Amino acid sequence: MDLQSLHRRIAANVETVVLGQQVTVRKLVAALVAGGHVLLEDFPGTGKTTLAKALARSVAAEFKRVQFTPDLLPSDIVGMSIYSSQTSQFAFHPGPVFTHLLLADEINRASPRTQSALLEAMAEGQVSVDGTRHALPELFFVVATQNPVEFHGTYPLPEAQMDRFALKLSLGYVSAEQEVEMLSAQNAKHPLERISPVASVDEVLAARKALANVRMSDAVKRYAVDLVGATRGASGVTLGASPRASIALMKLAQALAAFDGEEFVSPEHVQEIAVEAIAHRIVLERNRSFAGASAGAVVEEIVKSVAVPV
Amino acid sequence: MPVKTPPFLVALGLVFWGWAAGLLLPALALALVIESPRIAKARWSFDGKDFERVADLCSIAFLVLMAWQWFGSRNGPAGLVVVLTWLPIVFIAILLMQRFDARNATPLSALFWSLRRRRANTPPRSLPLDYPFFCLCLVSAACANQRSMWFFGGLVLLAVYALYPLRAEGRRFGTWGVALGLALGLAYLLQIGILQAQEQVESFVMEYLRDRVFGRSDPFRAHTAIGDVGRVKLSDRILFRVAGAKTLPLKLRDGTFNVYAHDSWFAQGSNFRPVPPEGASSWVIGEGVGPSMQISTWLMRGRAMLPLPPGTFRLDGLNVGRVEANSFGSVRVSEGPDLVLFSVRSDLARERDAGPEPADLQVPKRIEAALMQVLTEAGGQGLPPAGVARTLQRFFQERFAYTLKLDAREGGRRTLERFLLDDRRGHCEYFASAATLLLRAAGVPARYATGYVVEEWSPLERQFVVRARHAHAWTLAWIDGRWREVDATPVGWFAAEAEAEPAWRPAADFFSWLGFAFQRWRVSGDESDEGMSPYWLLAIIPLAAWVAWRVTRRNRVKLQAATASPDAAAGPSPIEPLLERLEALGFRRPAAAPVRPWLQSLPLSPALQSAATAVAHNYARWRFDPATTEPSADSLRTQATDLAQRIEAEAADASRDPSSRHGAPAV
Repeated sequence: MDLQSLHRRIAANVETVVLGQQVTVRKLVAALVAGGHVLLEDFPGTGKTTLAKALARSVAAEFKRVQFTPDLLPSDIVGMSIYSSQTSQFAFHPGPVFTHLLLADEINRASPRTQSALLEAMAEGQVSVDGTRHALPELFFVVATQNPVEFHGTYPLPEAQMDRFALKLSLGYVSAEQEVEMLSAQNAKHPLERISPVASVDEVLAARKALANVRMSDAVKRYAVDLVGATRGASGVTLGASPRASIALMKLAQALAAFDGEEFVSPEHVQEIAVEAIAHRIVLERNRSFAGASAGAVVEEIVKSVAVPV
Repeated sequence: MPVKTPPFLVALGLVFWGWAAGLLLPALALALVIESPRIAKARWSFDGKDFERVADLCSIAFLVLMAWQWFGSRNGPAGLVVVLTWLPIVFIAILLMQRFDARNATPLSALFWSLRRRRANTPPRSLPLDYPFFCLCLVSAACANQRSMWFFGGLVLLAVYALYPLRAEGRRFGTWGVALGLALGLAYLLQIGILQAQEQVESFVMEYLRDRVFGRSDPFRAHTAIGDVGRVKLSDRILFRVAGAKTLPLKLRDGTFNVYAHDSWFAQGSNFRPVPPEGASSWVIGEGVGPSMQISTWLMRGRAMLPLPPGTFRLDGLNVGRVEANSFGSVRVSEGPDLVLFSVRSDLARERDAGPEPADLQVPKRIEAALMQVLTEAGGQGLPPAGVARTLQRFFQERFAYTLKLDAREGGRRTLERFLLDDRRGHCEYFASAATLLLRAAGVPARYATGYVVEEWSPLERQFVVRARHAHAWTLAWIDGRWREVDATPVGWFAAEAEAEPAWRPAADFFSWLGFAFQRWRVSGDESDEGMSPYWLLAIIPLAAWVAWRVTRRNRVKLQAATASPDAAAGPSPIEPLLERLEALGFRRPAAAPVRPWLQSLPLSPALQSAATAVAHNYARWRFDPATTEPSADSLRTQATDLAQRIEAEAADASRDPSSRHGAPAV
């Protein structure tokens, strides 16, 4: 399984649609291969949905989108049993969660009850409706988005649920040149409609298995653990990152190393993904966040201060 | 952010300290030891606990040194400066441990107790101690107080060398140099200012102390505590030691005075004259035949009034520059070492002090009436001199009480009159003053003498020890053509003085003895030595042995673990030489920067760039791929050294050809 070429194909394909986001695309694909879900947090109109859609089209995967609203019910996501008069039986009608790639748009707008229904599906890879368990497809990848500026009518995700996401990415605004280029590209036809699949679901599943072959020395593992551990004692932090963060960090670093064509993980791979993999899991002290400190900056500082193995 | 120190910085700091403190040889040895990791390949991976233990050990050594200096030498609190001078030796163990540690950094928990408690939930934070230790060397060197321009010059050079790698990046060298020059100039002016201010304060304080406190060592005046109320406190400190004393109790006199005024005794008309030396260290005050005893006493800045037995005619083995005596038998020495041990020969049969003068019969008008009243009460009128003395002694013994606690009844100062007429309680200064004046009132010439009583035998030291509280005052009366000691103080004062003995006195005595024994050994071995000497190193040897034992004991296990897995190996990395040379060229890798991307990002020429990339990849493979045995550490080391040489060669070319230079350290 050539992870490097898989990454190149998917990334090149996505980048024809989403311009100027090579770094984010690389991390998004890493999450896809590492088997972690992604939370995209950015301003409206920066291309979150487009990115998710482009990724779904590139891997020939089934794609579904749920727009989260305050009145969305758990059954709207996981599906429900409906009585059929023909068979005189209840038949399960799967919800949108039964897909390969789910875009959960504005996840923080739904009620906590609905959020947790999705998050249970994300963690377990299955849903339970009326006492029956229904397994989700083997490739189940959630890209959730949330909007950082609106607070009215939102239900911020609790810390425990933030932990279920392997990565929190943000796209940010692209440069003026790229935005001009974007305008030209949109002129004729939406570029999304032009792209065609470059990889299959099976390939992605094989890549997930192949990831285990990327070696990680004890020194690098220790380094990853040190980074995560440093958040627990850092000043201004109420809640540090969990061991789940270490695991996610390891898998993502493995994926990045594989994308670079390497059979082993180096500290630079851990560093590359550390902020995105750790920052959303830590909780800052109230006065610190009011003072404008961000969890990302705290993790960045940690990355800059923990010595790498030499 | 941890910073790598310039090469040999700590060694240079140590040598500088050794030069300043007069310990050049030990300092050179320490410098060699501390830089030995450059040659020695062995490394250990100590954990935080190891560091904490060694740090605790150093702290204990530090405390022992402090206690020793405080109790064991005459320096007292001033000995702390001596301890400061010795700090590099005390704390070098931690740095040495760090140097041999694979990460080359010391956990902060070794230095701060507060961080040890938090260890459970805090990641270990560590810091290379090179710069702090270097600063410690400078502080200790400064404490040695070398007052020469060489010191300042050396300090400047070291500061430049230490600070150069820390300069802000992107600044021109010229700017940095000017700023540094400015800072150094200011520092120079500031130290001159501080020095002058200190001289002012010192002279003021010394004058004050001379007037108020140290009256005792003034040969011309003895300030008494007459008039003071409250408890008279004298310390347990051992002032000097006497061996070979034959008759007890023995009084050693260090001052004799003839005029009483305003609660003080003065020595009038007693000019000091030099005592002629005989040979290197013998001094002859007069003729005589008599037994000898050994006295050892501390000198204060090389000067002291010697406590001597009556009839002293000869001093042997007194290794000082100058001995002077006055007509009252007081002897003072100057230009001596910290401790003098000498033997005294005394001949009681010969009177050496000047005979009675009119001043020895003078009584202050103010208390004459009181004196006559008491004299009458005692029945001392009309008796021969010896009879007066005996009568007075008995009178004081029977009617007066000895005490160190004096209350301020009737709200005023205590006076000699009140002592004589009212409460009849007091300490030896009252008794001696009163007896002297009463003898004079009875027509017997008398003088006031101060000194010490030798009575306490120390089983530990096997000689007599004399403490500050054994200080005593008595009377010399001219009886039958001789000055005879008349001690009017009631018997039992010696026990009263010893009453309030603190619990820690045995320990203090022991340290005092250690310090004395050490100084004695030092003085007898090396008589020209001044200040600190390398013998103090001996105190460190058992400590160093202990540290070494702990280190080696823990090692064995660690080394085995290290050879088993390259990860824990932590030996010196094969690319360490490359990193060091790059650092010397101005490319310092931050500790948090991974080696491979950092190497690839160096601004090198294209040929070198590709070589660096190759080395970087091989390094990453060797270091982080647990499944590969290729390349070997040796071949990687060869590659890295080769690359380092090429980069250096190119840098040398570039510096010869300035046109090819652009930017700060572009190679």
